[in-house]
Formats: sequence, C-alpha cells, structure tokens
Amino acid sequence: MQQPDGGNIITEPLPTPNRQGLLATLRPHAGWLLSIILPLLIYFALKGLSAPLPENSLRFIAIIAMATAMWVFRLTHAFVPALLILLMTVLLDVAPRSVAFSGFTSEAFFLCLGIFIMAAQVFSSGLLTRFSLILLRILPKTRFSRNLILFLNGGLLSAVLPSPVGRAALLTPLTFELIDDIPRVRDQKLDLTPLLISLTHGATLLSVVFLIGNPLNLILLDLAGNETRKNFGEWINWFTPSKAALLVLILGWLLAMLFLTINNNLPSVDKEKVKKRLANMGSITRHEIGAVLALLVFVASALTINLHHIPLAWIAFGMGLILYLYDVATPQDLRANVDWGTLLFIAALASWQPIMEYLKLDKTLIASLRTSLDSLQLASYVDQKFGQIPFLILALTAGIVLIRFLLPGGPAFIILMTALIPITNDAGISPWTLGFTILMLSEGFILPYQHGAYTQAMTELEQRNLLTCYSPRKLFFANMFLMLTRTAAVIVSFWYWRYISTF
Amino acid sequence: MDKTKTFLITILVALLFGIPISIGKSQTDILVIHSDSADSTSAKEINRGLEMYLNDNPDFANKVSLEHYYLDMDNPNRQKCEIYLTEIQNTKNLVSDQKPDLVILSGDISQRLIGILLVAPQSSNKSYLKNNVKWLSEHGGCAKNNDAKKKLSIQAAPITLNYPLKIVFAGVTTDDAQEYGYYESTLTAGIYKHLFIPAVKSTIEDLYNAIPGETDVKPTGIIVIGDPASIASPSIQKLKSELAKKNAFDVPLKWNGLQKASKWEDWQKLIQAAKAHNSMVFIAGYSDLISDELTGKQIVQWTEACSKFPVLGSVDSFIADGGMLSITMSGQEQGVTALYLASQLLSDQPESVSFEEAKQFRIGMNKSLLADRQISLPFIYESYSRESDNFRDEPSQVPGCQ
Repeated sequence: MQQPDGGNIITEPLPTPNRQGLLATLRPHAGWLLSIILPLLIYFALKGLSAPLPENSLRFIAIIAMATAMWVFRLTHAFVPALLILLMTVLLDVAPRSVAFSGFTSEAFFLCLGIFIMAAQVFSSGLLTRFSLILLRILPKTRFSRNLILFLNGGLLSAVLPSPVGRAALLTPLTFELIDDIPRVRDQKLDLTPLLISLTHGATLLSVVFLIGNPLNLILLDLAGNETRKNFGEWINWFTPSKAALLVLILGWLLAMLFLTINNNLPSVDKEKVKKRLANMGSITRHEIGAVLALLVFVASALTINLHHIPLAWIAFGMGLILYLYDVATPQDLRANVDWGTLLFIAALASWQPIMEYLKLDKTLIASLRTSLDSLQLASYVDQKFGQIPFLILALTAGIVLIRFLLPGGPAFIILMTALIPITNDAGISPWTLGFTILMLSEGFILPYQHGAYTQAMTELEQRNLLTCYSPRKLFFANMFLMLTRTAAVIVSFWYWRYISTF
Repeated sequence: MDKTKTFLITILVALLFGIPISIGKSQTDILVIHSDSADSTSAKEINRGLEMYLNDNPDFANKVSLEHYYLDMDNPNRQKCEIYLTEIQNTKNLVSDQKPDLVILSGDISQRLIGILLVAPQSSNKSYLKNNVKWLSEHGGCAKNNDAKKKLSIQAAPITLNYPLKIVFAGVTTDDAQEYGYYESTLTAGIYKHLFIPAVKSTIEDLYNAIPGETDVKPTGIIVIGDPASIASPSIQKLKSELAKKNAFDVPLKWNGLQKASKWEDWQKLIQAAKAHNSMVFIAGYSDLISDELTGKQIVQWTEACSKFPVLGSVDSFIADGGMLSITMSGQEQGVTALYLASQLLSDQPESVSFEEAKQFRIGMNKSLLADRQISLPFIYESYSRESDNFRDEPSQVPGCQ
C-alpha cells in the first residue's frame, strides 16, 4: 500500500518541510556534500592501502558510501539510493548488467509483486472494514476491544502482506473509523495513545515472525544462501522457530495495553452504531468475495507447498494475475495501491548478494575481519558460553538502536547483515539466526521519524486535527518498552532454538 | 461476469497451474546431501561428476531433478553437538517436506548424520543405530553435555517415510559399508572411497626419484602423519599393511610407520622427528587439528616449510591449503558412479545394484613449491593435476620454518 504522501512503505518519508531552524536548513546541504565527498575519500583511501582491493570492489564500496550518506541524511526516498547503486554498478562496469539487476528476477521481487497486487485488491474491496465491524460487534464492550481489533488485524495481515507500512496504511483509516462513533464533548481531549500503539505496533511488531510479514525477511533469505532458503524458505518452516518470539511479543503488547488502557478515557464501543454501519455496507460484494477467495487460496497454497512443489513466489505472482483474469482487480488498484517504491527497493536490495559474490567481496570481508573475529571466539557461544548470549543481544540492541537513529530500517538491516554475516561462519550457526535477530531489533522504533508506520499515523492525526489527543511521554515509554520486548523475544528465541535444535 | 466466462477462466487457471504441477510430479527427485560446503573441493568434484553423468545421459537427465543440500561440516566451528542436532533436524524436515525419490549422501558426516536414519526404517537390525549415536556423541562433543546427549539419542531416531526411499552413498571411507547398516536395505547402493595403494606407492617412488642428488642426500624412509581419525581410517590401515612389507618399494625407502597427533604441538614434534630420522612425510589428514586458532592453511604451510623432504598429502584440500603434491581419490568418479548407481536403483531391477570400489585417483600439484625444492616430476603429473583442476603455481607464503 502506498502512503498518503506517496512515500516508500518500508522506509521513512523525507523530513517534514515545516521543521525550520539552522540545523534543519543545513542538514540537506551537508548530506549532499557528503554524498559527493565520502565516496571519493573512501575510494582514494582504500586505493592507497599497501594491498588495495581490486578496482571493481573499490568502485562498489565507493558507490555504497554515496548511497549510505543519502540514507543517513534522508535526502530522498530510500529506494532512490538503492537503485542508484545498481545504475552506477553498471555504468562503472563494476558488474555485468545481468548480475547488477539480478534482484529483478529474484523470488523476493515476484513474491512481493504478487502479494502487493492481492493487497491492493483487498484494500479497495472494503473487506477489512467489514471484518473489523463484525469483530466490533462480536467482541465484549470494553475499551480494550478497539485495540484488540487493530492488533489482531495487523497480526493477521502480517501473515500474508509483506509490508509493515502497507499494513499501517490499511489500518490507519480503520483506526479512525473505530472512533468515528464517539461523541465529541467540548473541551474533552480523547486519549488516543493506546490506539496509536495498537495501530503502529499491530502493523509492525509481528513482521519478522511471519515469512512474508516483511519484505526484508525475503531479502534475508537471498543474502543467507541456498541452505537457509531450504531450511526457512517456506511459510511454516519460518514460523516454527519464530513461535517463541511471537509469544513474547504478544505478551509485551498486552502488558503495554494494560498500562495504557487502565486510565484511558475512550468510551467503549456503541454496538448499535456498529450494527447500523454494517447494515449500511449492504451485502458482501463480488470484490470482497474475490479478496477472500484470493487470500484463502494463497494461504492454502502456501501451506501445501510440499504437495504441489510450486514456490511461494510463483503462487503469489499467479494469484495476482488470476485476480485480473476474473476481473476483480482493476488497473486502478495497480496504479494507486501498489507500492512501487518498496518493490523497486526490494529488487535493488536483492541484487546486493549477487554483486558481492561476483566481486568476491563477501570473502574479502571475512578475511579482513579474521583477526577480530578470532578474538571473539564466537564458536564457543553455541555450547560453552551459551549463558552469555543475553549480554551479546543487549549489546547488539544498544548498537542497533543507535544506528537506527541515523539509518532507516531497510538500509540499516542490509548494511548490518552484510557486515555481520561472517559471524555466522565463525559461530557455526545459520545466517537465519543472525538475520532474524538483526531484523527483530532493527525493525523497532522509538521516535516517529524512525518508521513509516509511525510517521503515517502522526500525519493522519495532524490532518484530522487530533495532535493533542495523545500523550507523547506515554508513547515514548511504550515504544521503549516494546523495543525491549523485541530484545526479550530474541533472547527467549535463542533458548527456544536450542530446545528445537535450530542454529 | 457471466457464468460461462467464469467457468472458462477457471478451466484456463486449472490448466495453467495443473500442467506445471503434473510435469513436476512426473520427474524423479534426487536430493544430494553433501557433508561439506558448496565451495569445498570435495563438493565441487562430486558435482562435476554428477554434471558429467547428466551430460552423457540426456535421457536420464530429462527424467530427474537434482537438488543439493550442503551440511557445511568442513567448517570446524560446525563440528559440534548443537550443530549436529540442528542439521539432523533440518535434513529430516527437508526429506519429509520434499519427499525425494532418491537421496545421494556424499561424505562421512552426511552418512553418519542422515544415512543411518534413512536406512533404519528399512531394516530390523537397530544395533548400528546405537553405535552411531555413540560415534556422534564422541565426535561432536555431545558426550560432555547430558542434555544434548539425551537429545541426540532422541533426535537421531529413524525418519519414518511412507514410501521406499532409495539411497546412494558416495565416498564411503569406512572399511565396510555395513558399519552404517547399508546392507540392511535392498534399496541402497554406494561407492567406496579407499586410497588406491598402487597409485600411492608409485607416486612416492616417483617423488623419491625426483629429489635431486645421490642416495646419501635422499630420504631413507617414509612416515605417515595424521590426526587420529585419518590414521584409524581403513585406507591408511590398508596402506600400512601393503607398504610395511619388506621391499614394498622399488626405491631404497623403508616404512617408518604411522604416527598420530591430536594436538598441534604433537604434530610439530612429529614433523621435526621425521626430519631427524631422514624421513619423507605422507600426510593422512589434519581436520581434527583445525580450530579457531589454527587453520588448515597454517598446518600445511608450516609442515611444508619445516620438512626436510617433499611432503605428499592425501587430503582433498591439501594443495589449496599450501601443499606441494597430493594424491586423493577422485571426487568426480564418485559423482559419476553415484548417479550411475542412482539410475540403476531407479530402474525396474534394483536388486542387482551393489557397492563399487573407486579406481580413479586425483593428483594435485603446486608447481612453484616443487621448483623451490628443485624437483621435476614426469610431465604427466602436471598434466593430470591440471586436468583434475587441482594445479597451482603459487610461491610459498611463509618465509621459512618458524
């Protein structure tokens, strides 16, 4: 789903123009300047080494430096630097076109394309609103119901829609529909904080637990190689080792809700109004039936891959096309509701591994880190030093939280994963274990600008003139708490992985 | 949309998805489980052999679909109990998910970890299963950890499949395949990977003759040095029984025995002792010595630099690790034979299929290191090592014996 501002869904929008001040004015200039200087500096510094890397590798590293500067300063939408990397890779003869653009033929690309088409159709069909209203009618009349609906919808969508911000885009209008029936009393400020948490974290918290909950999960499989794809590349095989994390995350959200809803002033749901709205929607439409069938067939096909042996990517792509064959999806869905920015970003990121492999940069990286890796004695953490893993995870959390203040989630993950993948070789573990850990931590956020879902919710509040209807303090602490919940989920997962033998 | 149109579209969709599914179902699925990583010399060699067989047999190639899975056990950091347990679980999932018609298990670890679990359901004799759990406990360190040990005995339980899975064992290094219980099933076949003794003897003699100078400056004996596992291997034991005989060599060399080293310090002492005894060194294996602190390259480069006479190795990665000359059994032959045996097992009369003995060996050479010792071997060595894709011309990367 596309953001209201047309921004990219897995990355953050550009800094808001109303943030004035000297720093805000200088920031883009400094960023552009660094994008020019940094690649040149790195190129010549590395070239001057006593044993320099091959010319093509030097060029690639310089291109990456340019893109990183653009990402750090958020100079443009995140997919632009990612595509610039590919363009420059071809123009500077770093790698052949077939290698540089191989991400566009990757399974991750086709899987996302297919699912985005399906999601676009679900979005335009109105199915989600009907489903939520039915839930509102069924659920008990408590303050918690609206939150549960948002989190439940977010969680269910996480299992089938690979876009956290896309899910947020679906849930945002729903959030405000859920409070539409509340009578506004003059001078009384509604406290929307719990709803904001349920909206933003409902859309994002479980994204790493499900294979197609986040496009970066698919990039992780591309980066980690064939063996990882065989072991975790199916929906159920990804979900099985993620169960412990799922429980911890849900528990974390429940605790946050307990704290936030205890003194909340939102009145409970007016069931009569819900009934009336459901009646106004009329009977189920052909488009809604199409959306339900598409989702059911997709989920059933994903769970029965062992029988038909058609990879998930082709099922998703096929389902996307079938919706058009039956005329239940429209070209308008493709134009307006498919997040092309994310799709391009995914394709660009999926090209990293083939380029690195072509340049043998992965091996160079391992060799250059050899001394530091040896001193860490990572291999012993799987057996002798297993009890010390929580400290490693806490240190990693601290590092990632700091990096995330600078970098958007997608680039932070790809850079961290590329840099840390040698660890898996030295620890003797699967790259999935590391990737899951990095993704779980790097997808967390504390401030609005750190995640598209959060920014989107804030923009919506602003547009509806509701910016005073939440407590920034509570929101900050709830985000911090849920960030720590993510850390706890990773730590518990390590024990669970040991129990089920998944390293 | 009218009903006829919907009906016709549904038929089209059914055909679009049904045809690929039916084509996939008609193919025979072969899963190749390699003990080592995709980058390893052994896996590359086996794969070359598999490819060669498919190219030569296009009819068979059209009927089968090959999938590879690498256990990555050449990484010493993965040779531990927790990873064994993980890989047992992973491959169990893989086999029960993919339901291949035939599995090719390449290398010792894949046969120990997976092979036995696949053969077991087809047999009534479970004693070898118990023995194997013991072997895995000892080698992966599970014995030190009670929880892991218990888990291993549970996890190393046979995989129950509801169809007759056929198995080919490639590169069987044990003396007798029965150690893995292979003969318990009629649906198994395999190829041994034992050293071809006449080829080893002849290479040692050629090397001796190529050492410049008269007899008084040449070695007087040959000693085999290796880690405990390689020294205990049937190939090396057979080598001992053949070459320890009186006048076994056609050159004035005497057999100075087998020596095992389980620690790097012991290894260094043995190499120094060989020097003192005027012995040539034959390296049987060193993988057990590799650790976080000591790589295969460091072992071989030091050994090469500190040996008085040229060193011959019998390890697939010996040349890549910095060795001068190696003789190993051909992985390519293992690949070709494995698929030949697979085609026989998949045919209508699988009863006639049995175990084969490898005959083809592989020479590896680093020309630059030979030149350093002023050794000139018959040209066929260079040509054969080039053909085997195991030829290098790289100068020594160590300044000398330090």
